[in-house]
Amino acid sequence: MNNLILGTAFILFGGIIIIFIKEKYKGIIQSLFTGTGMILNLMIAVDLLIKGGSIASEIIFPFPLGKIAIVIDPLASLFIALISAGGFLASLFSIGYSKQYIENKKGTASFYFFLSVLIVSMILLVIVQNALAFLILWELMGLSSFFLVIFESEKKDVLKSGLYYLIAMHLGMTFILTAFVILSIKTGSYDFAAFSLFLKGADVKINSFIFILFFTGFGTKAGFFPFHTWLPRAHPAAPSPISAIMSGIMIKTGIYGILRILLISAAPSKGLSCFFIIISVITGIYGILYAIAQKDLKKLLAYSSIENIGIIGLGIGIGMLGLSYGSSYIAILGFSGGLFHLLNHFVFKSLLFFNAGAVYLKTHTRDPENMGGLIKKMPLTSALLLIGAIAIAGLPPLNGFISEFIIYSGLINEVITGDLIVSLISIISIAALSIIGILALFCFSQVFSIVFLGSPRKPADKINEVSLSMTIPMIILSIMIFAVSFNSRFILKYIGKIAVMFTDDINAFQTDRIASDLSNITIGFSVFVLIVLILFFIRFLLLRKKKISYTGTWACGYKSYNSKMQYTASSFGSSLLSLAAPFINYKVKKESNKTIFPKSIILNTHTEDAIENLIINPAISVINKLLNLFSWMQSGNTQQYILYGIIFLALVLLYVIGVK
Amino acid sequence: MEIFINIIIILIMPFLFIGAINRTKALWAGKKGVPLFQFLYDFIKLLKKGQVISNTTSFVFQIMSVIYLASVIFACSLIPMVNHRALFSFPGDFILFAYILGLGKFLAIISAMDTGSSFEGMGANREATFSLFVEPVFFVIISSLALLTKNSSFASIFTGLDNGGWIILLIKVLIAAAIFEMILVEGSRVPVDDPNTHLELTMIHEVMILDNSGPDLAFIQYGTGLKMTAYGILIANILMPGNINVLYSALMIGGILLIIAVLIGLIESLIARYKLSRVPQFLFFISSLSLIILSLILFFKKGI
Repeated sequence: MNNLILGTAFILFGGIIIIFIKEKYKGIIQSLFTGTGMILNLMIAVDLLIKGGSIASEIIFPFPLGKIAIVIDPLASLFIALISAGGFLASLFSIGYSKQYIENKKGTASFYFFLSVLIVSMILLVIVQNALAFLILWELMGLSSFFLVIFESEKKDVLKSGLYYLIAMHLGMTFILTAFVILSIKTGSYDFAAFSLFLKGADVKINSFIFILFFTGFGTKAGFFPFHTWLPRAHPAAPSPISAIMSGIMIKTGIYGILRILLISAAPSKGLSCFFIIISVITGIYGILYAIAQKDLKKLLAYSSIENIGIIGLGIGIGMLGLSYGSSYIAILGFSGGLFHLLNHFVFKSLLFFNAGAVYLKTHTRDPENMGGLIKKMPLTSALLLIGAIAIAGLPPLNGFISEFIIYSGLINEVITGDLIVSLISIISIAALSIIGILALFCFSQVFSIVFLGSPRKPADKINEVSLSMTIPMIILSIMIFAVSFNSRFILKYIGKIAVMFTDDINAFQTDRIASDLSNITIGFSVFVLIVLILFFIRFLLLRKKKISYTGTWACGYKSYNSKMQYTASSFGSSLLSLAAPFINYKVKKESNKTIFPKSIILNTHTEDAIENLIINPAISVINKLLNLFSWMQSGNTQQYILYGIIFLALVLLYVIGVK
Repeated sequence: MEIFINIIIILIMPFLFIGAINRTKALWAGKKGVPLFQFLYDFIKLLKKGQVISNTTSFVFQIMSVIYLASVIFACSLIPMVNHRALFSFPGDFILFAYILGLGKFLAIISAMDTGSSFEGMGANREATFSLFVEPVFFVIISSLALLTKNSSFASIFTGLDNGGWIILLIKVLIAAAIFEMILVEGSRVPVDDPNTHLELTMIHEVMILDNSGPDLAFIQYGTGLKMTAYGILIANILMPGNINVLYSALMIGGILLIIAVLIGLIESLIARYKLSRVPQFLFFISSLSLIILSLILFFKKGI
């Protein structure tokens, strides 16, 4: 406990002290403090995950807050570990990334300050057990991330996206607030323990209603369909390390919220669980389909985050379904699959956003159509992106596969043991998960090949590898990818402890069963690596004394081949997107003059978010119309405003006289 | 003994399989045809050659062939062969099977894009798009079988399929048909793709490896042959009974593989490949077939 307070204080102190330090050293000092804080936090988090159990304590604050219960349980420990590690890596990455700001004479004090506030607010958020404190920290997290998103506020787009984000966050928060208000009215307390007592005694309808309120609020943060629209706007606007921390960790606080609510409420009903699974599946497919259509690297990654939230949600949904029909094995499979994917997504999504930042720093563009051939200029960055891409596509032998495998196992077990509806929904989810998998493969093979492979589409002479402070976080994350995938069994053991919290089944036998399946996977991976090594050796032997000649790419006999003839991201995605066009608003506009010698052809492909088009934009225009009715009030005329004051005073006077 | 036979099957069958397809096509056209093991001779010849590598390419292009072949070999170690025994079997092994083949596909796509050739881009894009339809079909079929047999590994699913009445037989035949069509897609055969075409614009799989040469090309071609064989062995597993003599079982696998090869050869002789824009219709047909299988199994199992 003391370690955690000390560690968190370190991170906050780092954020404050850098205000008084020279621009050049801000990043380094802040990283040092965050790093120390991370080590202290990790000590307690890892210790708790290994030993199990939880630490409870209380802090007494002056009036409105009062007594606040603090509990560090395994669920909170996992989040503390991820938040501290992610925060440290992001500040490390920022040292190199913020050099562009320093060169442009842009102060970075606010950047590091709000970064520290964001990390601290998230750490505290996952340990408080009090609605009031939770809401305050939730708001603090939202605001600090808002200021980070609009850090480059001199750009108009950034400011616009930032405001969109701010409004989305507060709309979501309204639902959380409502749910908490209902609960505290019913219980007369702000404590989660009291809520839990009430919810576990209440009937299914109340539980479901409260859960849906919370889901709407937390789902907005997490990016569940149809509340996801802020992600593809906020992520491209934010500086890359911030996108990494937002996508890698902050949106997971939404998942944390959902999990915490599940922990304090009664076992969910079957209908609710199926609803949750269906929403998650839609989120997954929707996210990855739109990701393929994006022409902005970070927007693409934002949509891919939505997809991964869908996969995490699917895991949680399986867990809920398991709880609803009393199968603790399936519940544990589901929850540990979801949590494992959460961990994995943190690792590879942070890596990919760092990568996108590194590429942006060098190319000054986020449009893959203007890149290409970067593998020769930035070999290390591209190799790291390849690792991240394989991992996020869920392909063996990397970590993304492990969590998807656990989720698949949960689904298969449901198919076998469930009744008709459960089996049917599970088979549909299996098919959907495989579609998500293959679409992710499509998406990330496209990203990697358009950005890094082929020959440069725009002159790329000045581009070189990024600085050490940026590559080190990426290297750490890619080592983590391998470490997680080859030690999945041990990690599952600790994640299983969190999953067990959701069930009443205390014995660890269930997690052992999953662990033995995972050890098969680990053996399989090792065999695969062995086969690869043997084949490489054979290839080496075969080519040892052979002639290897280098020439241009075969262009079917065409001599003057140039880089403009390469396949582009639009052309790569076109065949799939035109098949999916009915679902995703994919529009192709082609202008060509059909003469004998055609000169210029203009091709424009375009996708718009369907939810934004169908729901959000109409809603905004209705609200605008409504509010316009009152616009005459704000005329800008001083006399009019004085009149308002006089009317108000007169009314007050009348009221006072009337009362007397 | 079983493991030994399994390894022999993996080593030899791809050559025989491709040879049988080509022989069928030749006989149907009234030609004598190339020797049955021509593919093997080509393979050995390619292994002895040097390489020509494009300047545009990077290390991705060089590691692809090895990882592609390794993924297929590893996938083969997961499917049961003689007497429904696999080298490697555990609950959920079919997920690893599908995903490791996905890894090979991923590498094939990025290696094609590595050359910067627009033709290879086309091929990569088509291959990725088509597999979008095949992958869910595989998962729906296997999870329906899991529902039917209450098991979740290849070996136990296939063993569980042994007994049953006419409806099981119907399901088996339909599944064999669906997987057969998957071979046509994954192996890039007519009517989806024509391995013998020489027009780069219309090729799919072959165009992706236009720039590969020497041992790399040999690895990839062998990998593709092995992949078709692997799916063929899946069909053999569904059709053949378990618990028979090892030798019978091996012969049965060989026989069923040859029948499949002859069928592929006949199809290639009898019908032309579809227009590219028509291919998705064929893929939708496989998808609906898998849904029919699912509903049949639900009907049989749950009695709706």
